[in-house]
Amino acid sequence: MNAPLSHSASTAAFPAGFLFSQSNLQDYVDCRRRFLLRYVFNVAWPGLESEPALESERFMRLGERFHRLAQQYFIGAPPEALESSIREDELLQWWGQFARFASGLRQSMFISPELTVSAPLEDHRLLAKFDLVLMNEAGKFIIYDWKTARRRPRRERLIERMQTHVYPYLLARCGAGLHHGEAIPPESIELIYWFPEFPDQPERITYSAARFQADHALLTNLVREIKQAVGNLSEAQLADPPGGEAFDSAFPMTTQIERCAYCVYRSLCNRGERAGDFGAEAAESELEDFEVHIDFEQVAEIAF
Amino acid sequence: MGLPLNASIFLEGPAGSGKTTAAVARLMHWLELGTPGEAILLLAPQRTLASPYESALRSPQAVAGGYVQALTVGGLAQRMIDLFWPMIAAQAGFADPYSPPTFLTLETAQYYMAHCLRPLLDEGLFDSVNITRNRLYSQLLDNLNKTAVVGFPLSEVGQRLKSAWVGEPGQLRVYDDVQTAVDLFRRFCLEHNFLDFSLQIEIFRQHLWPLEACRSHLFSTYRHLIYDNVEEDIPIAHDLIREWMPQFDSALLIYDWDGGYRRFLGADPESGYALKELCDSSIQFETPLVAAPQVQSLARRLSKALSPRRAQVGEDEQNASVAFEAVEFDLHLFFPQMLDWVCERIEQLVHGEGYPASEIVVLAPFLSDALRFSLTERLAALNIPTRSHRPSRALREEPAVHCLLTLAVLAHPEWGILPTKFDVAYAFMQAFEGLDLVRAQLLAEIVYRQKDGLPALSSFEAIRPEVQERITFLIGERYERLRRWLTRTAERNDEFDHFLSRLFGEVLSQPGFGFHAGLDAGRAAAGLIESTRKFRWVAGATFDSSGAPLGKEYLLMVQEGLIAAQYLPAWQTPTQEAVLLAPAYTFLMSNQPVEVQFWLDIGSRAWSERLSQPLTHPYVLSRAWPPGRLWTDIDEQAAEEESLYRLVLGLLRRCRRKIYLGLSEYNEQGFEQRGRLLTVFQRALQSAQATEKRSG
Repeated sequence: MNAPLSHSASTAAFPAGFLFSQSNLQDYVDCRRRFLLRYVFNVAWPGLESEPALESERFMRLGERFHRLAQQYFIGAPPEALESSIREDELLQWWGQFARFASGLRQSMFISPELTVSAPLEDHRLLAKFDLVLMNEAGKFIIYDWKTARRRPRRERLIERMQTHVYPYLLARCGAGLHHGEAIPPESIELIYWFPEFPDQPERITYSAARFQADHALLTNLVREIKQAVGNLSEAQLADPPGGEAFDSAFPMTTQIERCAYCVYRSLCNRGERAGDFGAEAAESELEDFEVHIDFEQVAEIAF
Repeated sequence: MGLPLNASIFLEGPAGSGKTTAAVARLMHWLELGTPGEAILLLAPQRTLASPYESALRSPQAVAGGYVQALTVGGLAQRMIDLFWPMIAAQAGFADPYSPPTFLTLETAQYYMAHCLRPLLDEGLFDSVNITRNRLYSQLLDNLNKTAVVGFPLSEVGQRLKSAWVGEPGQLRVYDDVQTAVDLFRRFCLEHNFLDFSLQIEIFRQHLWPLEACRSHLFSTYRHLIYDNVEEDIPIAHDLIREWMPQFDSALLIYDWDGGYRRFLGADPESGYALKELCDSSIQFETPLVAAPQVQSLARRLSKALSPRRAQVGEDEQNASVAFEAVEFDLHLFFPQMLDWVCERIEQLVHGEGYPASEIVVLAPFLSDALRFSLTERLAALNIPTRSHRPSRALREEPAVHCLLTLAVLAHPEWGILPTKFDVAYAFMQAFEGLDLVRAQLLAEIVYRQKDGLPALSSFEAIRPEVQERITFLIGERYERLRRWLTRTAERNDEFDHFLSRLFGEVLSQPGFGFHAGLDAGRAAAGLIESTRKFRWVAGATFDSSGAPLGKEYLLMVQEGLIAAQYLPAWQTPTQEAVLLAPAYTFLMSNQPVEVQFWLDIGSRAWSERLSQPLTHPYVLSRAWPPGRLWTDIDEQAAEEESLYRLVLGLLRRCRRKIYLGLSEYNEQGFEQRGRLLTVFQRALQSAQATEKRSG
C-alpha cells in the first residue's frame, strides 16, 4: 500500500502519505532492521518464510478463504450457498464453528465487515482494516478479528501486539461516522479475537479512556521515533547496502535470533539459510499477523 | 464547494482548468462535514487518475474516519464477483459453480489463449497472418474485451469486423478465425472457472448488477459518487452509472473536453458526456490555469490548423507571433543529431536556468528501448537523471532471472532443456560473487556437459589442479556448494516457485554468492517468483492432472515471450528528481502538468497513425460504429486527424511554459519522413506569418 521512501541529497524522509498500520509498527517493534528493509528501502527479497512451504501456503490461503467467507456471510450471502462452495475439511470445520457463532451477530444494530479506517497521527496517518465491527443491543461497539492460527496465542502475547493497541484506538478516533456523528467513548469499545480452531476461547479486550490516552502516547511516540530515526540516516548510510553494519545503531537487528528463521531477509542479514518450521510453536507468533490483502486493481488494470 | 451536498453536478472543461482540484476540495469538504469516507465511491477509468484524491486522503489534513475507496469499474466488477460468486456461478454457465473463481491476469490469459489455440494454429488457423504469437494472442484478448466493454455479443465479433472490411478478400477468412478463437477461449474459461477481464465485465453486468443482494450491498455501501475523467471510461461503465445515479445522495462527475485518449482501449467520450443529462446542474471551468498565455495561444493556432471548424482564434489575430514564443525547434539531418540537440537544451534548462529535472518531459509517440537507452546515456553523461514509465528491461531479460532459470534447468535434467555453454557461464557469473566472465566461461566449459541429450554438471574436484587454481579454490568451493544443493533440492520435487525461492534464499543470496546484498537481483528474483507462483495457482491443476512438469512449461512460455515479458511494477522504480521519458499517451494518462515538454521526431507518422492491428479494430468495435458500415480510407484519415487534434491539445494543456520540437529528416531507422504533425506546425506557422504581415 505504501510507496518506497525517497532519498534526498543528504537525508531520507518518509514520503508524504506514508501510512502507518499495526503491521508495519509491529515490524518496527519486532525488528527495526526489518522495518528499514521493508519500508525505508523497499527491499524485495523472496526467501521462504517457513517450511514446508506448501503446507504454510495452504494454511495461509485457507485463512484468506475463511476471511472471505466471513465477509460474504455478513453482507447477506445465503449460508448454505457459502457452505456448498467449501471443499477443504479444515475450512468446513472452521465454517461450521463460525456459522454457529455468527448467526447471533447478524441481528446487530450496526454491522460492518471489512471496514477500513484511518486517522491523522503526527504528520502521517494510521490505518486499520477491521474484519468486523458491530454495535450490540447494549450500545457496545465490538471489533472482531478472526485469527486462523493453529495454536491459540496466550493472552499476554495478544495484549502486547500492536494490533491490540491500534484497533480500539482507531475506532475511538474514527467512530463518529458509525455513531450518528458522535464520538464513540473508549469505554464502549471492545476488541475480540475469535479463533475458529478454538471457538469457545475468544479473547476479549475491553477498552477505557485511560487506555486510549496510553495508546495515544505510545503510538505518537513510536511514529516520532521512527521518523526521527529515518530522518537521521546520513548520506553515507543511505549509500551503504541496506543489510550493512551502518544501520546497527538506529535500526539494529532483533536480538531474538530465533525470529530470523521466519523472516525473508535472513540471508541479507547473515542470519541463516533455512526457513523455520511451520509447525513449531515459534511460528505462530511470527506468522500470525499475515495481512489478508488482495489488490484487485493490480489485476484489473492490465486488462488489455 | 458552496453547492448543496445532495446535488448531482456535471463539471466540465479543458484539462488544466482546475476541475480535479475543485473535486478534491469538495471531497475533503464532504468528509469534514461528517460524510463517512466508506460511503464515498471514487471512480476513475484507471487508478493513476485517482492519485490527486489519494494524495489528499493520505495527508494528515483529512479528518479521521472511514477510508474512501478508489476503484475502476473493472476492480468493482472483480470485487463483486469474488463476494457473490456462490450466488451466480451456476446461472452464469460455469461448469463447476461450487469451486471458487480464478481471475486471469493478462499473462495467464495469454497463456491459456495459447493453450487453446496451439493445436488449431498447427492445423493452419491464422496461417495468413504474419505477426508474432504474442501479438496475435493479445489482439484476440482485445477483441474479447471490446465486446464486453462496448456491450455486444461475443458471437458478433467476426461478423462486425468482416462487415467493415474493404481490402483484400483473404482478410475475411482471418476474421472467421478470430471468431473461432474467441469462442474457443470463452468456452474454455467457462469450463474451468477462469475469468479473464472480458468475462469479469460480462458477468458483473449480466448477472451481478441485476442480483438484488449485490445491488443492495452496493446501494447501501456507497451513498456518494465522485467520478473523474468520465471521458476516458468504457461505455459499459457509463451504462452502469446511468442506472446507479438515482440511488446516490450526491454525485460529482468530471469531464475533460477533447479527452478520450484511451479510445483504443474502448473509452467512449460520447457516452460519457451523455451522463450530463442526469445531473441536477452543470458547471463549466473554461479558464486555463496551467498553460501560460503563449502556450494557450499556440494551442489555438494549432487547433485551427488541425481542425478549422473547431478553432477559436480571436485575439491572436492581433499578435500571431505570441504563439510561437512558446515553441522552439531545430532541424537536423539525422536522428542522433536531434537527440544531441534535445539533450543540450535540457542541460541548459537544468544547469543553466535552474529548472527542476522533474518539470521536464521528453515525449515520443512510441519509446523504443533503443531510444530510451540513447537518451538515458546522453543525459547521464550530462549529469541529468532520467526516469521512465518502465524500466528498460523485461523481467525475463534481467540477469538474475536468467541465472535462476538456467540453474533451474540444470537442476531438472529430465526436462530435456539444454542451455548453451554461454548461458551457463553467464549464470555462473551472476551466481558467484567476484567471478568474471573469462573464468565463468572456463568453468562452464569444463563442468557443463550434455549426457544422452540431458544437461549435467561435473564436480570441481575432477578439474586439473592448475585449472582449479586459475578459477580459484574459493569459487570452486562455492560452485560445489551450489552443485550439491541443486542435486539435493531437485530430488525434493518442490513446487517450481518454492524451488526458486529456496535457491535464492539458501544459496544465491548467501554471503559469497552473487545475489547477496544485490538489491536489483532481489527485486528481479521476487518478480520472477511471483510470476511463477501466480502461474501455478492458475495453471497448477492442469499440470497436476497431466503429470507434466509445470516448471518446464513455464520455461517454454518464457522462451515464447508469453510469460515474464512484463516489466517490474512502476512503483518499484525509485522516485527521484529526474527528467521523464515517456510515450505521449502515457504522459497524458498520468495527468501531471510540467513546465517544459520536448516532442521528439515530429516528422514521424506515428504521431497520428494508429498501430497496425490486423485482428481487431478500435473504431469498428465501438458503440458508435453501425454494424455493416464499411471502414474506408476517409474514415481512417478522419480518425487520424481527430486523434492528433486531441493529442496535441492534451499535451499543450499540460504544459506550463514551452515546448521544444525535435526534427530530423531521417528517422531512427534511417527513412525520410514527413508526417501530419510536422505539416500542421508548418501550416500554423505560415498562417501566423501571414496574419502578422496583414496586421502590418
